[in-house]
Amino acid sequence: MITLTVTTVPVSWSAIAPEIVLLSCACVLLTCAIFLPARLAHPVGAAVAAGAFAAAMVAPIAQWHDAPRTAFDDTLRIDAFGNGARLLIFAAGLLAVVVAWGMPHLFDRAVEYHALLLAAAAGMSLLAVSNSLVIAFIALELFSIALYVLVAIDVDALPGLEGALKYLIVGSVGAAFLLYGSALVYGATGQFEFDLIAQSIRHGDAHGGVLLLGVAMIIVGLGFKANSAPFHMWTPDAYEGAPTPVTAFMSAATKTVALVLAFRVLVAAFGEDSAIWQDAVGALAVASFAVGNLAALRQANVKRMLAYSTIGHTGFLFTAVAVHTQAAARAMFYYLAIYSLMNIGAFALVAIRERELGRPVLIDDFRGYAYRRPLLALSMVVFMLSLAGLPPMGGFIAKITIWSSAVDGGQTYLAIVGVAATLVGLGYYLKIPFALVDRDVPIPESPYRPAFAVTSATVLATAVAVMVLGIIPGPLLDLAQTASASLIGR
Amino acid sequence: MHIGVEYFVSVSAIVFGIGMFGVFTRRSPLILLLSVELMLNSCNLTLIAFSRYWGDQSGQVFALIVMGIAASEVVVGLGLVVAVARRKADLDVDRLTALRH
Repeated sequence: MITLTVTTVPVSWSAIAPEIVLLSCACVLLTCAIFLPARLAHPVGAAVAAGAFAAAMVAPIAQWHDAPRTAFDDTLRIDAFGNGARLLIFAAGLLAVVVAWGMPHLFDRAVEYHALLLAAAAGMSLLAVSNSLVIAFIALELFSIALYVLVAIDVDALPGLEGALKYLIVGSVGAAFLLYGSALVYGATGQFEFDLIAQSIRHGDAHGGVLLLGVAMIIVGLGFKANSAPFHMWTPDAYEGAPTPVTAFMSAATKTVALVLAFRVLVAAFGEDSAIWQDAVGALAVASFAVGNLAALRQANVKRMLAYSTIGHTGFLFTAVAVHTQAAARAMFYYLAIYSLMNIGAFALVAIRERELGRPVLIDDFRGYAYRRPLLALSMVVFMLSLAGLPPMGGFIAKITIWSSAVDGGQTYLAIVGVAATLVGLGYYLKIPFALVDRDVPIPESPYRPAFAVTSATVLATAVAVMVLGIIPGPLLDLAQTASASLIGR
Repeated sequence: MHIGVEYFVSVSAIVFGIGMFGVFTRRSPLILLLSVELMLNSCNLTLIAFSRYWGDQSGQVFALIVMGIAASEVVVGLGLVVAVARRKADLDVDRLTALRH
């Protein structure tokens, strides 16, 4: 008798545990949505999503100190670098659930909002540990498509629809560049897995010209996803049009995952040939510094200003990629954690102000705010000082570590441009603290609407975290050290 | 029959260029989606050509995956176009009723 067996690739459930949890919760949520009464949709959606994000954190934390390993036939690489990025993404997702709590115009689509948030986080989580251009593309599209819908989740608002359409088209062009680059690298080396590509290049089997073009197109594709100038044109529209909790999640998690992918693919696959991409990434960093900071100076809308500021922050993060030493990876990780916290906090505050006013928030709308909601105003000052990179906030340490790694890594010009960009940045970040304490604005006599307790608590918690992590950066830097050491042994 | 891989790569590069040109010059969302599809399909052609060149199946599998992903992307894109169009149509209908009174 013949027993027929099928040999599959080795399966490691623990490697994809977070993705399984997130996607199955998203499916359960969408299925249950049919039976849920409308008034329960938001509480149940938020509870399931928060539970799923918390559960997804278990595996990365449990595997934190494990030695790096590959899974699923070398297509995934589970290491502290990827797991750290996963934790940042899940934390951002959790905060997005909390910030959205009580958003009136999300009530109609609360279940869809939370299910899409889970799907997007699952894609990002997979991307963070991907070790193959195929998996990277699938994961990238999984989270991108979920985000396109999330931006337009409020289908009755034209800005959201327009932002989503622009995001979709420009995002797809970016994905097409990444894909074409992947195809060319495959043509040059015959491999999709990062370590096998590196091996093929080391053995001199690769076709130089095709490989060069492929790497260039991959960098362009990554530039689109990391909203680096000159591929940033979708950013302000999508960030402004999206509901603010979605903007908060996008700005933090998308940036994290795009930078982690950029670092991983460039170091793991093309690390030997760093001369061919180092200057290109450096040029993108300089362009992002210039475009992000100069354009932000002219913005009156707070969300749009913060959108341009995220482009400026891409400059710092791409500086770390261009330097690509272990110290740079550590600095990038610390920067990403602080950046996520302060951006989500700032956007959450904008969401609160938006709900108070019932319209988009201008910088002038913060005039005299310190005399009405002192704690929230104080948090805003913390976020703005941290985004600007002033001590004693986390943003200061983040910038210092990036600069010192750039100088040690022989990319001093990037540190110099970064300092100049920071000085320009003061020009727009400090507008808001000055507006907050403006005494000339008459305080309206109408009673304030009740404070948004959950969102306000989130804002305060993130503000405290940004400050504490700036004053005591040691523990987070140690975690970043573990993460960076798992990718680069230098 | 033997055809050099460079012919396939050239055709795909031309198609990618046409798609890119379309994205940067046209303004209609439908044409833009069409152009993005051209770019993605040129990637598929490259993948399949190199897959045959290396005698390795993974490129072909990837091309199939890309087709699926491109289709789902277009679904979302067309959905957004319809949502925008419907909203604008609503506005027109409102104006019609306003004229009647």
